[in-house]
Amino acid sequence: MRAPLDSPAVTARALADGRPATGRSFRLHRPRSGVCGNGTCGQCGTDPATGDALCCTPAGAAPVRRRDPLRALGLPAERQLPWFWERRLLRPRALRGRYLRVLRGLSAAPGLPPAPAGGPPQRRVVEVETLHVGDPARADPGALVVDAAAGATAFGVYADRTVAVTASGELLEVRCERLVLATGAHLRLPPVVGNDLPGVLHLDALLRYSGQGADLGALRVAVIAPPERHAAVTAALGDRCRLVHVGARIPDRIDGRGRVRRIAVGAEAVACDAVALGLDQPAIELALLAGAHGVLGDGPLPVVVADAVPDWVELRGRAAARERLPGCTAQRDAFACPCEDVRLRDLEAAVASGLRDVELIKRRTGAMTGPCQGKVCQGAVLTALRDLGVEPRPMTPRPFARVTRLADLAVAHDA
Amino acid sequence: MTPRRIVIVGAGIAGLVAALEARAAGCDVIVLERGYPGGGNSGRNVGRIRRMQLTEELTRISIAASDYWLRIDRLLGGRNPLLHPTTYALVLYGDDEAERLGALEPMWRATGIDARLHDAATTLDRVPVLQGGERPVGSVLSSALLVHPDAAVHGAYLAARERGVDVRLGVEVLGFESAGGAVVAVETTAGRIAGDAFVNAADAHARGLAGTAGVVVPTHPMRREALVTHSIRPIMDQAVTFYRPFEGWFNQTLRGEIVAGVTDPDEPADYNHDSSLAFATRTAALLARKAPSLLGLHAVRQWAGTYEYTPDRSPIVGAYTGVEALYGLHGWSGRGMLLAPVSASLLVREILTGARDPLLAPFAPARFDGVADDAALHADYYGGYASTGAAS
Repeated sequence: MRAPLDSPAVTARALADGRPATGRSFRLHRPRSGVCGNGTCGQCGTDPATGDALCCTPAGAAPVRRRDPLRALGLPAERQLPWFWERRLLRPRALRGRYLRVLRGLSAAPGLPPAPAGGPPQRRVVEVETLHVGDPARADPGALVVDAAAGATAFGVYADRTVAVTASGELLEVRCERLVLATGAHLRLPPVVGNDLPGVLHLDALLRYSGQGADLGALRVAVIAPPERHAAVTAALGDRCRLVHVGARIPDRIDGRGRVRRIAVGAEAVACDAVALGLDQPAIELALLAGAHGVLGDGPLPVVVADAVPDWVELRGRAAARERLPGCTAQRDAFACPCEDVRLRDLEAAVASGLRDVELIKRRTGAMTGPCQGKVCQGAVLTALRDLGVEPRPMTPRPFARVTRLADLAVAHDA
Repeated sequence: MTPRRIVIVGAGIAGLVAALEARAAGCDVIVLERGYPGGGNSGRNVGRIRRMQLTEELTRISIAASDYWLRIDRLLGGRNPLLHPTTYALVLYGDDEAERLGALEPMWRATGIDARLHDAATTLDRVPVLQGGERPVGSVLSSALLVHPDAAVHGAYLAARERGVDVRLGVEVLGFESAGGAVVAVETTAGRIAGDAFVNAADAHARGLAGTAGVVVPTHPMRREALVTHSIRPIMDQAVTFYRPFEGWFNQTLRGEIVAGVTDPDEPADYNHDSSLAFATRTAALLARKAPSLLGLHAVRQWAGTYEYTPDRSPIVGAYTGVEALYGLHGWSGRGMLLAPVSASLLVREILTGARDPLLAPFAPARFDGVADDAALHADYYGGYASTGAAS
């Protein structure tokens, strides 16, 4: 992840222009836009010149490919199960030569990003009393602060209380006595139809775009957030965009083709260009890597929370929040995992086929295995599985808590 | 007496294929799995199926294994495990490597496989991802296959259930119960389960399990790690492996991800499953040296599994000595996806007919009777094959 931008990101400009789709989905070639605004969700596509997420790339720096001719193939594929290939489409002997090349050519994936110039990063071991990751305003005096605004990213917690950090040409191995995590939150994706439409994004992302100076004045925004956040949202965004709806009730559906056009909340239909969801999944992945146990919480829209947090780790702010989110009726056609285009009905079919273990269903459907590694989708997937009678055990925590460029890991090695 | 009821410990690719083959032969089959199907190495590998090996014994069974994979979809109920062709590229950076492998070419020709030693220019031409990196001295290129391990395990699991194999998940085997010199039952967390024949397909945990029947298996567990990047469009058609300065590998999956790993030559023998930072930096640094064009990729996840190494890095397939009705099907030493299915198939035939296939002859558990249980695991890769002759 790069340092935050002081000019609008590609995704911010695209949203402001009313053409939010900058990416496309892996399996179905559905148009997608940035959900997170900070490079974690993997939905917005990447800059071919750097390999960085478009939400971390200044507008104008990267061309945006608007048309996806292969979307036509995604439409019939939407009616199939994610594993339709295994009996209907592909026979082992057919997977040869040109057929295979054509098949692989159908991928919506980007090209190989160029290797960055510059030498290998310097490895440095640092020993500190307290390491603070995230919002510097919450840091204790004297703590070493890893702040994304300064271009630093903590991507893993390894043995011996070692936190790995990439920062301006260095790879830091920080050995700490205490680890404080003020890492904020990801979006908790609500299971309603249209939840993957371009223009649906985390409220944090909209606030970030606004802070980057994106001209959102013409944008009609519907905000869905717990009631206690409404006043702050109105204060922050009221004069930056057209707030056409601020409510706590999750829409019954989000309508549009290629982008958001309106939401339906009960009998009311609200025309809008963006749906900003203030539904938080605490960002706990570093705590889980440090040894905490992830458990699916309760409430109408459960999130994965950190339990049995080791005594040397502390979660602060929204990373520690356990607020109750408003509920909604899960819809079979909604996406549970946008990275891999897995809908609730695909999970249903996997369970019906006899798979009763989260790990099996994860591998069968691909759910939670995409670029976000479950950050956005884990709550939705596990809740759907719980409702199908499967024990909602969170996936094994593994690095990388943030995607990390190989060049930033390739320290000079004695070999 | 032909065994009627077969109990298999472990629902990885080995145990599940053994179950399907035994069921097809008319047996009642129970598979016991303490976790989930493929929860061990069957779900942690990258599915390389290659014929090229460093000994004739391994080459011959690998040829049979590749043929078995090409027709495995029938066993899996028509499911496709995403088997697809690739070129296995063993890239050489030392003159001694080229000399050692050049000496194997006659064996490869004699066994009918297309593995050939190539010079540096041909290597860079046929494996263009290496361009811009450290210049190799050559390579051994051969046609090979990649399989999607999860698709294969799920296909086997679902097919086993469809055909009436009794797969019991969440049941841990605590030990074997013997009577009159033969194993007659397993003790499990769900009680005692009797049978006529028992197959130990517990991979890295097979050693401890065999021990409960008094069988000593000189295998050692060792962590192996891997990392995966985000998906990109197809850029390479080869599965690359190198052994200098130490063992490393990378290839592109059908989904477009690059998977890669470089081993730690000092990795201790144990069941550690943690991910290490040293692995991530070592792998990135070696890719920077061998294939620098990949450095712009972003790593998404790293993971770990446990290899079960035997002293000669060849599997253990067959009846254990000293006890009746108990069979080993493990010791893959990193070749489980390749060798387990065909080995399981041949072992089931042996259990049911008593006839041992010549392909399995070099892999009998008895070859380790009396062998010291302290095999050096950290020796040079090629050195691990010296004991069987062909690569020495």
